[in-house]
Amino acid sequence: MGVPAGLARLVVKRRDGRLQTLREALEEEAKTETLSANSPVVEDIEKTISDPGALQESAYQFFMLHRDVKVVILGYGELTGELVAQHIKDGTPLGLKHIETYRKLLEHALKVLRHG
Amino acid sequence: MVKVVVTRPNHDYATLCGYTALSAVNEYYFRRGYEVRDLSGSTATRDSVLKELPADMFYGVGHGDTDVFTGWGNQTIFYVCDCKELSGSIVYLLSCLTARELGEDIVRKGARAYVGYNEVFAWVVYDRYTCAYDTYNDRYCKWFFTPVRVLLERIADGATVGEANASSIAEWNFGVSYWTENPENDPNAGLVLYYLVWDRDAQTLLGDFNARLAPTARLEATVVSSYDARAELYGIVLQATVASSYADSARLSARRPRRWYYFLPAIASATYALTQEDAERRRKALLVAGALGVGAYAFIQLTKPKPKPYVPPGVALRATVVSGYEVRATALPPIHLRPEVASGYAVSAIITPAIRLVASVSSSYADSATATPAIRVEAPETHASTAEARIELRVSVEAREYHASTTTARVELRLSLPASVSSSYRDLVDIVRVVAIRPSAVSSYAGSATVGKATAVSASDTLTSTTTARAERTAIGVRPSVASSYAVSVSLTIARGLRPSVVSSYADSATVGGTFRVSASETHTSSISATVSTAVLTVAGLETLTSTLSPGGIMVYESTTVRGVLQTNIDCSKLVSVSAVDAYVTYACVDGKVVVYTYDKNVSGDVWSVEPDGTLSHLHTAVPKDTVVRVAYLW
Repeated sequence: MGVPAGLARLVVKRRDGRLQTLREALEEEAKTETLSANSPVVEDIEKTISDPGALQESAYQFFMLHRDVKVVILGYGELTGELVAQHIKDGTPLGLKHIETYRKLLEHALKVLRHG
Repeated sequence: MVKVVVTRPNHDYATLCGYTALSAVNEYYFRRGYEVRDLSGSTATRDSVLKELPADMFYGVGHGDTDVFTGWGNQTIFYVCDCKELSGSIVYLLSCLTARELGEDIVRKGARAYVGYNEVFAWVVYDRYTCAYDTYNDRYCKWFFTPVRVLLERIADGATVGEANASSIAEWNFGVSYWTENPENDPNAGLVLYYLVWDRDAQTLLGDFNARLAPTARLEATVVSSYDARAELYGIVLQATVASSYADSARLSARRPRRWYYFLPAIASATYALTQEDAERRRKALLVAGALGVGAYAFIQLTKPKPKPYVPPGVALRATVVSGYEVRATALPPIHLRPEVASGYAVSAIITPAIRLVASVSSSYADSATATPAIRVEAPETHASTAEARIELRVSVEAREYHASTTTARVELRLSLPASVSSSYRDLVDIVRVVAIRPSAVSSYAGSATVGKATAVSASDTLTSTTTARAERTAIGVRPSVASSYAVSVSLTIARGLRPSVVSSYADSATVGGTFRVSASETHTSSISATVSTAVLTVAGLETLTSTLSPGGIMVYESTTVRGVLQTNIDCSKLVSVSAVDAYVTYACVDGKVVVYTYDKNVSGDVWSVEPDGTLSHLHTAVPKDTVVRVAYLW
């Protein structure tokens, strides 16, 4: 089962506590471009989703990977990925909403990985 | 006509992107025949909106919160408990959070349906400039505004709000699938995907899912009267011939004939049958009546015209009649509007309009022609770093001939060029609007008039700030009228809702309506024609300084000599613009020479300017860039 390129930079928290992108985790796990639905990486995604702390860390890291990208939010104006990451880190209402959506994105990734 | 009210403030970057995105939607509604009341820029205020309501549809962009929707400068337009004016409307708010409280209240107050977002609306920007001014071509932005566009355009097409919302969600899902696969291997695919999921899940529909806009028909036609009347209606030639020297009339109709006439023989036969006392004779007559009825029905079905495909406005409708004498009026108003707004804490706006209107009438009798331009320029500032320059241009050209008959060619043009500038330093906005109006009336005993327009709008920004210049084409209305004592004919090329009317002093008339109905009447024999056409004036001939165009056109120079002086020796008052496609340009015209400096538009923080004395002022770091510049000035 391949990992769609759009999901490759999603960050998950591994069982050993490290934060890794799906691509990094994949390369470390299998040294291949395919990922099994029963892979430990998939289990780590599920754990990240169910653990609020891990979810917050992963979301923060995900936005830091895109720190220079410009994001416009009506009501907030122009932000960068780094500023959004700061909201996530600080637990502001905007940051909490972003964590919630990041959970949705990980669920979307799980769905894609399991069902294609 | 179905009325649509739109608010599009553009006082900051976020609203500017929405402003641009919704302008394409406005265009779509206009082409569909809706009456679009576009409250853009600083007109997007509560007072303006309330003046336009009630409406069949309301949509707009603006900052919002759970209980409020705002317009220009974040002024409140609607808020909870005070939105009853939207009663009866279909409402779409491209705004944050309004679905939580305001949307529900809007529906409670009588709106037919509401679509908005229960979260903040967000999008990812690839190129800041492209996203703001060419939203649907930005690599990232287009994926966020296309679902919005689909939603609104489906409603314009007559879909129910529920269907339109489903189409919009499908578009969001398409984006999610695309960026999941990420075929272009974009490193930021995950982030784009993230906000697509965000916005999609926030989109909320409330109210009647089956609400839809009433269909509009935008049918325009024209007519020719004389002895032969002829009109083309969406490619269909309608022709009527009238033979009379007085009280002629011609009617052209695209309505289907009254088919029930075909049943008259059957009705007559049935009537005859009912008057017969002899049973056998009555039976035969009834059989004949039945056969005639069946035959008439079959004939109607076989000859029923096929439905014609929808043809958007822009179809040329023409009708021409030729006549004898000539009166000609021409108006060539090339206009140079250059508002300059310098902001800091002090704001000023300087508009240098240069308008030349020429109207001449030559006739054997007393003729006259007048051309009246009027320009209003406003440049208010609401903040230390925000300034807006708004330009309204009205040009009226009128040509008359006084003779046994009277011929009038009248052109009214209204342009609205909003420009907004926000900066903490010094901004320069060039709005070059070149309008060519060429009405010509050929009359005395016959007349014709043609009207053309050419528009060029450009905006350049010398600083890091934001500059907008847009032409509001929807505000253009051209109303030529021709009056004559003799026969009248009209030749019209209608594009974008031009409504000509012809009136004659001998009760000649031709009307053009918004339905298939076309009528014309004539009481006399000779003819007058009036032609309205639109054309885009193209700029060409860029090689040399001695490029020649016909008088009234624009001479354009092109030179690869940048950051220097163009030895043009021109009249600086006729300088229209200096521009470059891929670089910022700052320039000044000094003693007949154009001093030009170009620099890289991709480098932020740069501020260069050419002072009025021709010296170059370097305020911050700028990166020079070699490029090709265009110098345009009036011939």
